[in-house]
Amino acid sequence: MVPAIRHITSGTPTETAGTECAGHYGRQWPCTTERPLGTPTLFAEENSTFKFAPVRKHVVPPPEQEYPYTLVFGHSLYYWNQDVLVRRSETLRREYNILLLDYPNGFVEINSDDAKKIGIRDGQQVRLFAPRGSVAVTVRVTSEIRVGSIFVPYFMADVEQELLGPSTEGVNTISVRVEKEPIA
Amino acid sequence: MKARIVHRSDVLDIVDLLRARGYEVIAPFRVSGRDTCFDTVTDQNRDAIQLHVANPNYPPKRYVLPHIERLLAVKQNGEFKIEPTYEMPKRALFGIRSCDVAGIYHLDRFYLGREFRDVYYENHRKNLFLVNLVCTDPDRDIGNECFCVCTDTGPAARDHFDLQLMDLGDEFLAVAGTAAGEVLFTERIFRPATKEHVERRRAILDATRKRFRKPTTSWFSATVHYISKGDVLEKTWEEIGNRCMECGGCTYVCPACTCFTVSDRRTGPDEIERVRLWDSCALGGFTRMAGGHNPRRAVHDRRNRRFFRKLAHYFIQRELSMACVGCGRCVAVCHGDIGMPAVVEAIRRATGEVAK
Repeated sequence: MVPAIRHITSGTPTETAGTECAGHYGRQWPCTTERPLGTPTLFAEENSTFKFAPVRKHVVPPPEQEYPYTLVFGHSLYYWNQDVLVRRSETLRREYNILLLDYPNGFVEINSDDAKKIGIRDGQQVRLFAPRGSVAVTVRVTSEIRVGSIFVPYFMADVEQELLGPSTEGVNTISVRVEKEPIA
Repeated sequence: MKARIVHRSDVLDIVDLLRARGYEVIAPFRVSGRDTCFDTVTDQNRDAIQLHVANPNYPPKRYVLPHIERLLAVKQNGEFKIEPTYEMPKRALFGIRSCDVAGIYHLDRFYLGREFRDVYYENHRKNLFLVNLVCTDPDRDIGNECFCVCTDTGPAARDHFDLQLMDLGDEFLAVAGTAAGEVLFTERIFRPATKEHVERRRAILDATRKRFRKPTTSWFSATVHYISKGDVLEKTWEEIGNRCMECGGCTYVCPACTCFTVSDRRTGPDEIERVRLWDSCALGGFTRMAGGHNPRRAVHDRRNRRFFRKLAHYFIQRELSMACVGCGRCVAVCHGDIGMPAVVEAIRRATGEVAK
């Protein structure tokens, strides 16, 4: 085995000692010193036990009356980091360009049920209000977004700046209110 | 059809024979673990050719329909000049499975079978020599996802190959499917086959058919019937569409998918090229029209397009072959578990209950 790997894995419960992973259809993890060819069934020996640990339930704070929607920032399907990879792939670039053709000023995504409640249609302008500021954006109505949330792809840099302010490293959800923007 | 016997130690000599005749030979290799790929045979890797391995996920389709292919170049040098680029390789595919042979046959039917013959495809296909290897090893050849017994394409192809090899243990039975394959039989490594060999072939095939893991999951005929009559409920399509993540993986690994798109890109200051590349009906841009309207905007509308194209009677009749060859690659790559057998079964169950 490569000494570096032995060094990395030393002390861990599943030391990958003596495993040559290249070739021969793979092995069942974990490959330990006693079972270099893999372990088909974990805890198969007598006297070996394991414990379940309780998973702490994540409590979602109830939406504030004034700001009922949760704004989520994230990667869009065809926009990833600075998009250097997507733009160099013919098919993905086409998908990205089509998004921009449909929504030339960018978009935020909203669930179709929410859109019905607010009374907006796909491609319409809305204004998002957060405690710190507000911004006008185009909506993309889709059922792929959970009810009560609004998704902002990262390339909508102005939305992030207007709603969060300058120093907001690491923030990826805030509460907002949505209002229909009068058609100019 | 003529049959001959090759000794196990002489099988790879067929590759040498083909290379000596000027073919670029493509054969399956093992990358690592269960990962396998098709690659060009050179003097260095000739001995590493694998006969019995998991079928590579990236299909051999790309040797007749390249993933991305230049169609023409436009040069501006005072005036515009258009230069079409034709590639005419002389290739042999060694050791491809019966499902992939059926896949290439389907592409033939689509690109060459009707009034318009695709020149680029024809150039790739013209000098192609297919050496089919019958799947006989239940552990290594037949994957958990294989269902060629349901699509009637395997485990042994009946035609559309030039040479078919089948492992009989110490020997391989070679069957010529075309005159080009028969020419090889003049070589000294081929010995005449006896009746006993043919009997053994039949016995092995019978045994292999029983070794498929889930042989009964895809009864195509009922589903073909439901889809062709338009009996499938919108709800069923939506359920299938909801599980699609729009990655396009199923179409990129499919050996029988024919769709492509054409794109222009700059290759120099005064030069652009027009390329043709594989496209996928899973992607939203596939059917979007120039004006912005997309007739298949919803995911399930796009997804049913794939299964309609593969299973509707209209297309099967038009191409005289079904666009699903039972290789099981879509099952292996799909994150949402809507590969072909799962969809066939879902439609058959959901529609069958309503039809009653």
